[in-house]
Amino acid sequence: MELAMFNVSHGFTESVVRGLRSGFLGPEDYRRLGSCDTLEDMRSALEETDYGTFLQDEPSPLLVSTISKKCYEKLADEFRYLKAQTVEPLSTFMDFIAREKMIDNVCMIIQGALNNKAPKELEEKVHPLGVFEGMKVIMSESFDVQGGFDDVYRIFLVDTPIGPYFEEYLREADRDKDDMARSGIETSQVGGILTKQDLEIMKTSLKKAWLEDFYGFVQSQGGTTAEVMGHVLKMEADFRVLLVTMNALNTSLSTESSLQDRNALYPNFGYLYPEGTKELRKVFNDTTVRAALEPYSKYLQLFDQVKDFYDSESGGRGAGFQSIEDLIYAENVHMYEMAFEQQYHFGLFYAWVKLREQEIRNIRWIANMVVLDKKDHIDDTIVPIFQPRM
Amino acid sequence: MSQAGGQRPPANRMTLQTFKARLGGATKGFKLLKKKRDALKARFQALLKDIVDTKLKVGEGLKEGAFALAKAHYASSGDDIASSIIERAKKPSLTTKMYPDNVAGVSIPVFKMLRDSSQEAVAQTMGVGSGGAVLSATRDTYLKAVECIVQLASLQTAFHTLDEEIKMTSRRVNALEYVLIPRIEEIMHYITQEMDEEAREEFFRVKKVVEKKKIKLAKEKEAMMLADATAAIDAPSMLQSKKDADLVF
Repeated sequence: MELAMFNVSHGFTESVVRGLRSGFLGPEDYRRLGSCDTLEDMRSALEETDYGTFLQDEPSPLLVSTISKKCYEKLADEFRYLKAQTVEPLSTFMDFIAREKMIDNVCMIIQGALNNKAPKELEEKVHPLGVFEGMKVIMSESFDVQGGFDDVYRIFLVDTPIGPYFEEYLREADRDKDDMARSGIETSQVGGILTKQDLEIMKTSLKKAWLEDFYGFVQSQGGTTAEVMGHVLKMEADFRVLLVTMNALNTSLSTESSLQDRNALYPNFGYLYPEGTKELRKVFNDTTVRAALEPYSKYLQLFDQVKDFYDSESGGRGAGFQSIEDLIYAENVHMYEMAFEQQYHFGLFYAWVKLREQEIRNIRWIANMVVLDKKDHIDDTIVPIFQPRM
Repeated sequence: MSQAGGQRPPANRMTLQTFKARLGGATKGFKLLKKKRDALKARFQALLKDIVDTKLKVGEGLKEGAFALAKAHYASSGDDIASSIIERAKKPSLTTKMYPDNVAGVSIPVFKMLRDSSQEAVAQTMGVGSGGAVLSATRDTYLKAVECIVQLASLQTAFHTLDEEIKMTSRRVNALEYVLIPRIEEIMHYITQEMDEEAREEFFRVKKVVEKKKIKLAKEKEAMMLADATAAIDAPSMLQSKKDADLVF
């Protein structure tokens, strides 16, 4: 059925993405970027790639942040173009991809609102991929803090696709405050919850909710999509568990009292779920992490490679050079590349967006290293995409 | 000099005495100030070396910090961490306190960095989703750089203060050495000269008086001699004198 019907609706978009695949920077491009001495050189080096003249109108001196911002804008442009070509259920799938960035934007707006930032300032920091309609409204209106939270809340709940995650999160947060939340959420309380909650934790748990929702959606699609995307999201869920665990080490989140907070951030699916997650819920230092990961040789190997970095005894952090993120990026790139190997599924679109993000990270890293004049570090950190295999 | 030339003090032994005392005081002060200047200068030279070292260290530290920040950017999956960190920053966990330090009577401010870890709790949950540990590592790297900067700040302030102080002391030393002491010496020289002059004048005057007296004396003598001579001429002739009375035995 899939083989026969997929191309009727999604054949064109898939072929567009497969075409875009050739736009990734090749080894030659990376070499040229790596040999740049200034950001101006990078501009001209990037002009010869698929990025084209995207930096043409930027005034000199060029900033690293401008480059990455423009890269994201280009990605968002292409993403929007693709999305315009889609029909259901691929449109929803594309929405899911964008929602991750929407969560980022919303958290940023809330943080800005708490600090009474001008909407103009916020607008500059918005991630172009996560722009949604209601956002423009809250940004354009200068709301005051007291009445503002209700506004923010109502707009999130009603107008945006990420409203349900917020509702879920706020209900959970409210439940912690036990007796107050007997009758669901009242709008007047929202402001209080928002100010009290740690935004970073809120963001992470929103993303967890998003990941779980996404997984549910993907499974409901069935077929190759469920197979490919299921694998991708399960891996991501595992990585998320790993990341949260590792990053919580040596911080207040690893103490007895706040393990609860940390454990709330673990997604409820993935290859680690439920046994591995159950073990990881109890860990509080690097030895216990290792013990918990013992049955999972792949993750254990990842952990062993970077455990110097998280070792609290060897004179604090930063002893090792690589962090868990670096390794996970490499793993992810491999995984996403594999998603291109199958046809007639949606995983391709997700993989494409994620690979582009990684490429932008690579460009950003190269730009930073060019500015800092530490070019020897370019090759050991970036993860080239679709490297020619020997 | 002109000023001093205009109103010279009365040249007498008493003023000479006071000027002698002033000269003594000035030379003593000059010596002390010179010592102070030398001490300050020695400290200054040592500071220079320290400052150069610390400056290099600050450069190095900031470079490392920038590198760590790039890493953190890389690790935090493309989110704009800079802005979210800035938004979260509320109360500073690092503060500096000033302590006075004393070099050759000059008080120099020294800055000490104080870290209040309890204020950092807000940053603890930063980047839990991704890049949290890298962020903390970045913070630690920057912490070292900030420490260097604080050190550099106190060195620079000391440098500045010492510089001012040395300039002032040098001015004083030079003023004493080249203006005040020579002026006093000149005045003293003038006084002694004047007094010598007076003494010579006096001597000459006395000599003149004595001379005059001598002349007068000689004149008187001559006159007397002359008178004597005339008296001799008027002496009675022995031939014309009467016969002496006979001697009766």
